[in-house]
Amino acid sequence: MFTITNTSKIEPTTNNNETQDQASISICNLNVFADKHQILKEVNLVIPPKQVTCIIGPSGCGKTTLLRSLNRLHDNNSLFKVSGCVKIGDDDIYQAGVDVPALRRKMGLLAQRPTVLPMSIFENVAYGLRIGGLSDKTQLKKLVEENLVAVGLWDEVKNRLHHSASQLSIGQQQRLCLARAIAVDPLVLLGDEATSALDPISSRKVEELLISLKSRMSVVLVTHTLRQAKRIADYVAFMYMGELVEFGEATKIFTHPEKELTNDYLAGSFS
Amino acid sequence: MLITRKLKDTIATRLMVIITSGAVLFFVAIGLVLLVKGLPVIKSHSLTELLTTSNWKPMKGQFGFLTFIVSTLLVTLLALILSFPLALLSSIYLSEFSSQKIKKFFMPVIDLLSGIPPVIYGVWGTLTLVPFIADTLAPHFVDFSTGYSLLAGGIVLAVMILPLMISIFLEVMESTPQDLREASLSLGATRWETTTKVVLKRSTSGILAGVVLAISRAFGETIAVMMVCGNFTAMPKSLFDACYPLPALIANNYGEMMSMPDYESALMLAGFILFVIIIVFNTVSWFILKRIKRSL
Repeated sequence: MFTITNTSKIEPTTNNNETQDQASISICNLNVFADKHQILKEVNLVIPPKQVTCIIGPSGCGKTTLLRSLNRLHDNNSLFKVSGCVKIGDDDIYQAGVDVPALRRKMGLLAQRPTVLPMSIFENVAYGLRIGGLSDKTQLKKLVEENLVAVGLWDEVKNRLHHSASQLSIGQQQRLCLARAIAVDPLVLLGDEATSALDPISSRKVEELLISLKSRMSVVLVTHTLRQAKRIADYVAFMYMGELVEFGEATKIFTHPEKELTNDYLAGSFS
Repeated sequence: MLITRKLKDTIATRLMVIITSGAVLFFVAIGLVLLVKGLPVIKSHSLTELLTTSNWKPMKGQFGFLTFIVSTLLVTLLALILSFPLALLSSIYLSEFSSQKIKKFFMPVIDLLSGIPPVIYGVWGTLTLVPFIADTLAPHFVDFSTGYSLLAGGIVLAVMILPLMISIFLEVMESTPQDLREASLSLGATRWETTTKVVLKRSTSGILAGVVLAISRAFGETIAVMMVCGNFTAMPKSLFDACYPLPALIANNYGEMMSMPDYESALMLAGFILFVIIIVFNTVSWFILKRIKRSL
């Protein structure tokens, strides 16, 4: 089985209260429309910093839409309209004049399927760093290695760093994407069913990595599998038909949910 | 029952093999006919002489193809230089930046442009472009130009291959998964950075394939270029000089004065040269494409 041998490498770069607050997300009265269809209805939620928060709920309940509102990925689709506020730390990200690329840099994204860019393994990890203006080669090499070590991929790829990243297995690709996302040191890592395309072993590896990352950043994960949420979540948000039904500590939600709807969903009455 | 079904299967397979090889056979047959018909002129003159001199005096039995070969290459190159940046930027805009509404408006227009018959482009070139070059543009650079020129041919050809390139480029860029764009955006890249570093990078081989197709079309384009390029048998010395590409040579002369010795043979050889240029060109680009694909 996979063990994280290099957890020591994953250390919070700064560990004071300031970054704690910056890594919290408060969502108030968030509404999202796609054309005339309302996908999210008056969502109010505070996601605590440096914890793993899982968003669960049946298909089509708006989990992914919620996640994508957090780094303004709806911006490029003119059909989507967003209202309400989302604050990362103290900054409302939907305010006019927000530097969207800089905002997205603070919000790492791990997609459902691995999204390796059409370049080498090394360049994939270096991509975000280069975009951020880092061009010093030794520094790049150091950071690429550090982050590949952090996701447990270094030993597997150190001899073929300059080979095309698409040659890696799906599980390795997803860990590469994780390395790429955390290389730019985001405040929050967003995962959209980040393990659903992976085999069980790779899936476990990614789960363990996500848990290990919470010392560095907040992790928000949309997931379809309740067992996964049980394994890794500190907090759980349950959504249904575009509304947030219940939010709370994972142990409480899974053992004593307040709402009947949550209870029914957890019991498997509907999915 | 099983035997009949197996028989049908075999017959269908064989039939399809024959039909497919038919297409290849046509290609070989055309090449062979051109070569065989062109042989007499190769025998009476040497191939080097034919390809490296530019004396074209059929009455005196002189057949130097250099002017025509150079004209063909220059017109095509010029068309490519003019249209490639436009096609690339247009398709980047439509694929990555424009709204759905704008795209929905432009796509049919572009398709329409590629459906316009070449002769119309030729007439347009003759009526507007040629006088513009002769009266307005050329006087700034040269003493005299009729306007029927390399430049006119290049521009007309550029306009003709532009819609083809845009639609191919667009298709290639749009095949980039949205996930990849989002991966790049979520690392803090701007749309332009995402376009150049991810979308274009991933589309390189497709874009090159589009260029190859456009060039192949440009090499063979006859009527529109013929109407504006002047068809004068002398090596063009500037953009404002007349030129005479191979297809125009064949179209203008085939069927006339065929009684002259070796004349028909020379024109067939012109066809064969064009044929070879296109084969060489396609083969080279095939190798380049293969290398690019391997590196991605």
